[in-house]
Amino acid sequence: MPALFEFRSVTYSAPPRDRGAVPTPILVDASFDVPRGVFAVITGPSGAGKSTLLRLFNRLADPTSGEIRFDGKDIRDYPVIELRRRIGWVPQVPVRFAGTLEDNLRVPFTLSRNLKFSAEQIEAAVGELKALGLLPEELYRRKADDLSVGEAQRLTLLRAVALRPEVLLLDEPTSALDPDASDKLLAQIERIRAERNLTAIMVSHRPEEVRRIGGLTLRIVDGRVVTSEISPQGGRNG
Amino acid sequence: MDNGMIIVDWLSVATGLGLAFVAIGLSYFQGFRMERDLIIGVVRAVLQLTILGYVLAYVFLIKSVWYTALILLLMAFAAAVTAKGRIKRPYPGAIPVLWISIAGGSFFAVTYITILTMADPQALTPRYLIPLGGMAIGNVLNGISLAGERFCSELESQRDRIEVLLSLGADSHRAAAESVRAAFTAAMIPTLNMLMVVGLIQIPGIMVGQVLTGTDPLIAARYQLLVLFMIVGGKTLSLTIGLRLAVRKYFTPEHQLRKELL
Repeated sequence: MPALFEFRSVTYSAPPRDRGAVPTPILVDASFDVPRGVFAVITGPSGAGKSTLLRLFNRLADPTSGEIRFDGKDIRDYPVIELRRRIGWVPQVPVRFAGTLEDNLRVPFTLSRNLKFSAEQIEAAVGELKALGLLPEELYRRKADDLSVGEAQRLTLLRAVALRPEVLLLDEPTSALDPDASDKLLAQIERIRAERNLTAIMVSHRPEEVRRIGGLTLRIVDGRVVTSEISPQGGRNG
Repeated sequence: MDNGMIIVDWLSVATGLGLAFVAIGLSYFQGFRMERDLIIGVVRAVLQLTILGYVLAYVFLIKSVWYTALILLLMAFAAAVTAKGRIKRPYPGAIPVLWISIAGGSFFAVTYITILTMADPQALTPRYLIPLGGMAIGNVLNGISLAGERFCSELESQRDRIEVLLSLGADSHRAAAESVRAAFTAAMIPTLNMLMVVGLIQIPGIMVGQVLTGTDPLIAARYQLLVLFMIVGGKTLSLTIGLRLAVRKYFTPEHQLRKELL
């Protein structure tokens, strides 16, 4: 069985902001696999293109050349909207929509023109998300604007898994949090990943986080992606 | 036309210039240093309006509706170029988009007013089409520049939010809906304000013109209303076309936000 994601000679250059300028190469000839079910970490110096690489997984951006395969097929062969529904994404800065936390959790179910959910289906799904226990029950009727950054990040995480995706992409979800809150959020991410059987790919620039998660590490060095296996909490073994 | 109309000849205009001299003199004696700009402004206004008068007098001789439409198209093009100049970071290919939306909205409104409302073959002559078209295009131009500027800044400030919506399976139009709404509202507020206070605080230009040239104030009021409706309809349509096309420029067909344009 092929890996869930297969990158083949992927090159990505950011389109220049000024016409006529030369595009800046960010990724060069990257080839690697992300097997199903792993918790992979993208790491590397700041400005190396970690977030950019993450955005290729759900086609918020497309490679300049090369091929990305998802679930055995060219990623471009999937209708992009269906693809994104299979892949949740948590940005670096939490995003809150208007209304209460519950309203925020309903948003993913209201976005598609051709896929309609009944009110009961939506409430059941929101109930399941709340049952994951990321936030205290009494918070869900509060305005999302009243949340702390940490709470808002957990809300963003819940919303990202609302459509029951198979993959979860996380862009430095702990960057705005203190070490305690980071640890807690990481533990929750791990738990959701295990419970929902998700393949997770997370950008991190904190070595202790990378070591803690272990598993597959994608390190970006000078535009190239170097993969290695790190055993959780410990030393290298590959 | 009523016979109470006072003819303004060039001598009257020259006398009127006295007020401009008062302004220049006041600026000079108080050291405001606006004399130069005032002189340039007055000279330009005299030249431009005189030329416009001659051009219109000539254009009004045109019998063909198609020539008139061509002139209006050129006016809309000039408006598109102006609108592009007012947008801080115009996207590539902005002029055709602006041209289509400005022309689309204003032509629809002018056609509606002349064919359906006035319902008189005379309305399809340059004497009606050019002033009405100019009025529509000018107002639409202001609206579309405001909307363009606002839409771009909304996309930039709401970037994360838009990409979260995209990542959850929203298409470009759905993801940009809030920004479109903000741009539309910003562009329509001046028109709404005008509708609210028209006739209360100031007498609008068309009415002033018609009343001064001897038209019954009630007829003038009805003309003014038609023009207002034309502006509301034309602007709304132009904004709708323009913003829909702008979404297609700022997003790829694969529903990706083109950050390099922001």
